[in-house]
Amino acid sequence: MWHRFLDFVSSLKLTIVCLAAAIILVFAGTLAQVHFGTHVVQERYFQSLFIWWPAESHGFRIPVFPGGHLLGALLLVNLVAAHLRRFRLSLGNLGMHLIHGGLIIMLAGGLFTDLLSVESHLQLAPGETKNYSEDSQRVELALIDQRNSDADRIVAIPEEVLRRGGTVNLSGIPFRVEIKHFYANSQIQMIANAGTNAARAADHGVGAQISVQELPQATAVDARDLRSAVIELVPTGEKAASGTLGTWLVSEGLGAPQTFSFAGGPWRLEMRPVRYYKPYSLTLQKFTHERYPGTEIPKNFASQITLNDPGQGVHREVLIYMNHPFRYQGETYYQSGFGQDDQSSILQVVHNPSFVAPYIACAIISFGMLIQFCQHFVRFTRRAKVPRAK
Amino acid sequence: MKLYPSFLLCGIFSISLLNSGCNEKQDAKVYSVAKETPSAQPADPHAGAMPGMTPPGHPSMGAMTGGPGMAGAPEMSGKTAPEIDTGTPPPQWKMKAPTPMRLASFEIKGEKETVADISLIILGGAAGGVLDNVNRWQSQLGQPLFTAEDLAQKGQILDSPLGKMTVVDLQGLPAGADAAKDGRIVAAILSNAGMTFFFKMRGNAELVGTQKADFLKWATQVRAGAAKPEAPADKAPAESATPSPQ
Repeated sequence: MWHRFLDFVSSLKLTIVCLAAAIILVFAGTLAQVHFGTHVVQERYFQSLFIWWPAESHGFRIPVFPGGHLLGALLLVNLVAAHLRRFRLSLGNLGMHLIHGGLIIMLAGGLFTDLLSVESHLQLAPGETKNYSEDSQRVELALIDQRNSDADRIVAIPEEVLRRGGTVNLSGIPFRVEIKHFYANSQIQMIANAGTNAARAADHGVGAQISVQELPQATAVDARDLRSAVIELVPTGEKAASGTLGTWLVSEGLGAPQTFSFAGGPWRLEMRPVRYYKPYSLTLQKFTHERYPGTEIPKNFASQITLNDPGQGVHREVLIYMNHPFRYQGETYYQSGFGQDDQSSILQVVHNPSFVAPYIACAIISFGMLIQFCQHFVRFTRRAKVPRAK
Repeated sequence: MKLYPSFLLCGIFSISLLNSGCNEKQDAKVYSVAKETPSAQPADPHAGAMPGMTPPGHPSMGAMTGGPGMAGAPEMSGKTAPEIDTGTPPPQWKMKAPTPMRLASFEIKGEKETVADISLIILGGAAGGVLDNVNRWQSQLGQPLFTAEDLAQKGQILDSPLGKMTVVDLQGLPAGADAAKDGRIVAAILSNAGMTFFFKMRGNAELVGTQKADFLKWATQVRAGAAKPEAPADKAPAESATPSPQ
């Protein structure tokens, strides 16, 4: 039984099946982008173990096809098993060992990058300091307790929870959040502009002046959804008797936070991009955007940044510009773009623990190919020297 | 061999069961951060990535924050806005299609393709305060920020049916901006019944200057009431045809 299993995982048939499935997956994923958009397809088809049906359900679902992660993992296991079974550890096979070793590192690195890497953005105006970056693809509902004069206590409810709906109980917070409706894409309008039949979205906050209309999710590459939700804040514990705090509209379209007073102090409420806080801060001192003369084509973007990390005792200037990213504490900052006023700088922040894997893999594969070539070349020249029998 | 289809079906069913039981259950996170201090210059609310402008070799760049709303706008709080009568705008103002967050929106076209944009936005609460908002506009024009003393010197207080409004006249052309469309902001801020009213005219510096008197007259007409904004009449009502100072 064990041998049959080893035969299966090391078989060339499994390699072919996985590669064929990968081709089908890429083809289907490319077509699906028309209906679901790039980001959704990336998650459902390539960054998953299976493609599920129905895709949206959170209950019972059936796997209809292997996803990118499963195919990658199977190919990795197949490659390792085939190598162990078919190649003896010897100097004569060194080139082949290195090439396969490099491929294994590359596949494993790709998988870990997909699983562990986090991308976000940091936008800074000159003189502005931030200690967080933001993920523009995902939102969170932030409830900010501002009653303490030294620090804000933040409750961040991720988009996945908002999509599920229902009640969110929060430990240590004197109210619970009931999610009345989540809009994956929406249009918000002031009631005065929305027509006579428009209903107000909520009974408290700015939502009392706004109507929300649900829209189909955007699929175009340059379009994005405007996520909104209507929530109700219901006091719990000792404050339960005080009655509901009302329904509130939270939306990316509002941008600005809403405030209310409860339990002896101010609170803030906002739907915002998911934030990744850091133990250090960055200040933009200067941003320059050079163009090729007589054109609008960018020649160079550069951001002069002050890094301040009190915990590590670091305070220094760094220059981030095209093809010269800045790396600090496992994060890489790329000069990514600029604000339309041409003054604010946009940096892409990439946290990827396995970013060195492709470099190592390429070096090993190159070295392995060189050895393999040399071995064949030596054998060829030796054969050429042997006189042919007449 | 005959057992393989059964194994396959059992495998799929098991995976489905496991998935329904182990669906990713993300929960709310609770953490503390130091209080944010207001930025010296808030990021441009309309900032965004420039597709196709990223140099080769750089990682791809998704759409940035902002969207159609007012990212970077000041805070709101929860009170219901009164119904607003936005009065009669001057005839040369062309009413624009309503946008989600503007209670009133107009466009003015001047000579040599100069333009100016006028808006009325109402937010709840203190909406960040007068100084922060004036500095937001200063940064939009690429100008140094005001101190409270600067604002006291350069701001003007006018009476309106809704209360006293602070008026500022800001000039400056942001780098790379089109002088036909930008270069000056005349704005008025007032608070009433827990709401903050933002009247703003932005556009070509000369055109904004010629329209300033009409703009202030219109802003001081706006009052609480049920009427909706009216399109400018083809012929100017006598009271709205005030000559505009240069």
